Amino acid sequence: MATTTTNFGWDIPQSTDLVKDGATAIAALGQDIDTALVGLKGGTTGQILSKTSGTDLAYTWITNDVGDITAVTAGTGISGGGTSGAVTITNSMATAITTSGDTLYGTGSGTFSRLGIGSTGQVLTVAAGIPSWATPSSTTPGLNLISPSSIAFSGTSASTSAGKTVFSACTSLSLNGVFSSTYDNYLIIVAPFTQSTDVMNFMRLRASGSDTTSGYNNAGWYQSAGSAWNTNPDVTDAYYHQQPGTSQGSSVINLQNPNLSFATLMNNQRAKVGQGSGNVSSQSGTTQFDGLTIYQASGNFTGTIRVYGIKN
Amino acid sequence: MKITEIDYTTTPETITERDATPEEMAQWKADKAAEIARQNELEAKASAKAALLDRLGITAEEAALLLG
Repeated sequence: MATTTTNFGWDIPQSTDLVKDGATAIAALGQDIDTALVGLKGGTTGQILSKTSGTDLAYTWITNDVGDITAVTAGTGISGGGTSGAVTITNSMATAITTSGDTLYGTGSGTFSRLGIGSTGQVLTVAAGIPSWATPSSTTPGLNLISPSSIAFSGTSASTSAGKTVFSACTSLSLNGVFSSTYDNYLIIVAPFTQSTDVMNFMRLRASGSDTTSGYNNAGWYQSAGSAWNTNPDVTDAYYHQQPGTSQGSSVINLQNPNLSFATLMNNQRAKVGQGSGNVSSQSGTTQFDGLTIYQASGNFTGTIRVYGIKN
Repeated sequence: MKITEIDYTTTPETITERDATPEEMAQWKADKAAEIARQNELEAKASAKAALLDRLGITAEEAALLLG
């Protein structure tokens, strides 16, 4: 009676079978082996066996994948690699970034370095040949518009936005915190400017919120179209500022040294429709002024004022 | 007299309205008195000038020519 092999179940004779039956049993075994190993038949040079399913002895000859990666070598800017199994490569620039806002810059051929983010308001600049974050100079050469730290007024309205103070129907207007040690000299432009009443509008210097009311002198003049020059009488309690009356006027004032321990000098060019005027004035004290007031004793004035610091 | 103060060092800005201090009122009155005196002086000068021109029997333009 025939039995089967342990692993594949091929028929084999038992030791008690009759000799005459041996040839038949061997033939059956041979056929089983032939059938089972048919997958080994065929193939060409270089091919390899590949399983076609999970069934025992289910395989076939296949051509191995052409160009399989046999090694991964990390080049410039990456790290990792290997020659077997799963390999990992890493972008070195990506791992150099550790913090939000980081930037990378080259330090030479194929090399780089991390630059951490700067602080609020800083700008990217170059120092010693490499980029860096730096706090910009608070002042640049030329005219710098100055925004007052506070204003005070008597009248209908006044407000400051982006360094421009607009006022309407005021009898006095003070700008505080416009003169400082940052600048020696200032340009003040009051334009447009008009008044409800034709009286002189004056300007006073102030410090720590208080106007200075003495020490001034004024040499002023004016000429209406077609008429002779006239002079303004001197006053000692304020600078002359402007007197356009109900006409349209403006003033351009160069003010020197208001925040220095030195006399504060004014060059004021005034204009209104049909008349030119001006004054050269002084304030002889050595107070370090930080602001100014424009005012008039009757009626009111309306316009816009800007103060610029002049930086070397 | 009301004074409105706007402090731009705070966010948002701080707006305060107050009465003028006695010192501010005194200065305002002094400025007003000075302005009245100045106007009176100007009017007096203008009157004196007109009277002089009248006595001389010339116009302001003719006087300017003389002085020119």
